[in-house]
Amino acid sequence: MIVTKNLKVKYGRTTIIEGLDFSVKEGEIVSLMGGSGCGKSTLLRAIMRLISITEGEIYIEGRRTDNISEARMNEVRKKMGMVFQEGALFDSMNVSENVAFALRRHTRMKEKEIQEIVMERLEAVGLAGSEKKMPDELSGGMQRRVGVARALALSPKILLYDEPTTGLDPVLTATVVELILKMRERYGTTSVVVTHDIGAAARVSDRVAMMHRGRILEEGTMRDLEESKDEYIKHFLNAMRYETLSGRG
Amino acid sequence: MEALFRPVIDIIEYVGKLALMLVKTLYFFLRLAIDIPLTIFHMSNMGVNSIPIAILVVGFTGMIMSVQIMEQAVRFGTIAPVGGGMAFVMVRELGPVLTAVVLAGRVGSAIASEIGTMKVSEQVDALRSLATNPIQYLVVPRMAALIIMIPVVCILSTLVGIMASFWVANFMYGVEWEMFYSYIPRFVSVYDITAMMIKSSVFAVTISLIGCVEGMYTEGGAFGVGQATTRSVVVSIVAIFALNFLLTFILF
Repeated sequence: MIVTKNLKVKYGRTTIIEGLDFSVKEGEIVSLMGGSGCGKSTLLRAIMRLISITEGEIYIEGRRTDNISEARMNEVRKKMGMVFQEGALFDSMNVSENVAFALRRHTRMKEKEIQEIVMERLEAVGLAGSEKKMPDELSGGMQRRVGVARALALSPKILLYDEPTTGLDPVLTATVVELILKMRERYGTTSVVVTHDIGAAARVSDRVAMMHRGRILEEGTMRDLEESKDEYIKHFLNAMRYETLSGRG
Repeated sequence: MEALFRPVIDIIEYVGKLALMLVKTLYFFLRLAIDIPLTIFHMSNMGVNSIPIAILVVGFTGMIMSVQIMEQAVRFGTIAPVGGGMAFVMVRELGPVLTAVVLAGRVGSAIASEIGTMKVSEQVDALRSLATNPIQYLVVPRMAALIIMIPVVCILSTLVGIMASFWVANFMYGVEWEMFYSYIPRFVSVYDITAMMIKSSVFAVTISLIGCVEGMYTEGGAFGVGQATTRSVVVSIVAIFALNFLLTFILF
């Protein structure tokens, strides 16, 4: 479903991603973990082509996307959705208008059909009844859930989540984790989740990829990573466990 | 050595950004890929709502000009052509330039801060992730709205400026409308009015382009938005005066 080959991304002289080979199968949920600045969010942005890559190839559903025009990329993006860390909701629109945005721009649906889909998506993320609220009236967790509903509007095959649980309390984190699983169950979406949260990654992922300095150090189930001999992975997981136990995670 | 040429490099880089944005925007204009409802919204929000302030600024300027010119005209005993002279200056220079400066402050800053806030809060990335080209959605309707509305605001404010200068001439020096009006057709031709519209349209493209470039390249949170907003006003005003000089040479 998603494949990157020898992917390199540089910002000026700084290398963020260094020759990355990564793939996600259809219907799979893969979590990307690693320290700050290791290239997790950059990889998501490169897959969505929100940034330009320096070298390498990216394939979505078998089609190379790193060298196509912006107009053609937009056709690919209609099959994808992205949930941003802070929601990135359009602050001049209410919840309903945010979710309806892509439907109004890219389909010829009647307003009644659009409203039906908006209600269905909002119900799926547990926010039925919030249609008229403005983004600044919502909590952080609610904003992210509206972000998920908005990303789901065009029924995408792929969903990219950028740190969906960061800064949320345990109850809201559990809600978001349930939501990611529910999205696959309900819509069959393939998901890539960038997270620091070991618990969330263990719960949600079929596979976890541990990144460090722009490369994937190791990938497998969370149990595989916990049994890893790699010093960095051991250190990272211990530090994250300590942070969770001390209430900072 | 690099520090010595840095300001020149920065200016070239900035002009490059403007040129690139203009080309990308023209691409959508040529394909008629213009969001009409959004353009109408911006015409109302940026154009109609700017009419009162533009009228006030150009109107008061007309009144001040009238006080100064009438005083000299009385001294030299040539009151009759004052109306024509006022209309000539208003149509050729003061109307379009002052209207553009007012709109650079009111609208250019709003464009830069709106788009800049969207940029730093990832809303521009969200647009792209929803298969929407930010230039088509954010830049094209704003530029189209200003190209339509700035000439309209300019005509209204120029008319008010001329009427305000007549009101002062009549109130302070007893100049009758027939005398004030009689010289206007001798001084102002249809070509002058066409040139005023051309100037206004060029200023509209300039204000929207600078506001949009500042917004799209905003970095650094709230501070960055503030910087972009200030820069959009300063650069727009300088560009309006520089382009006015150039256009006056070309058109007249």
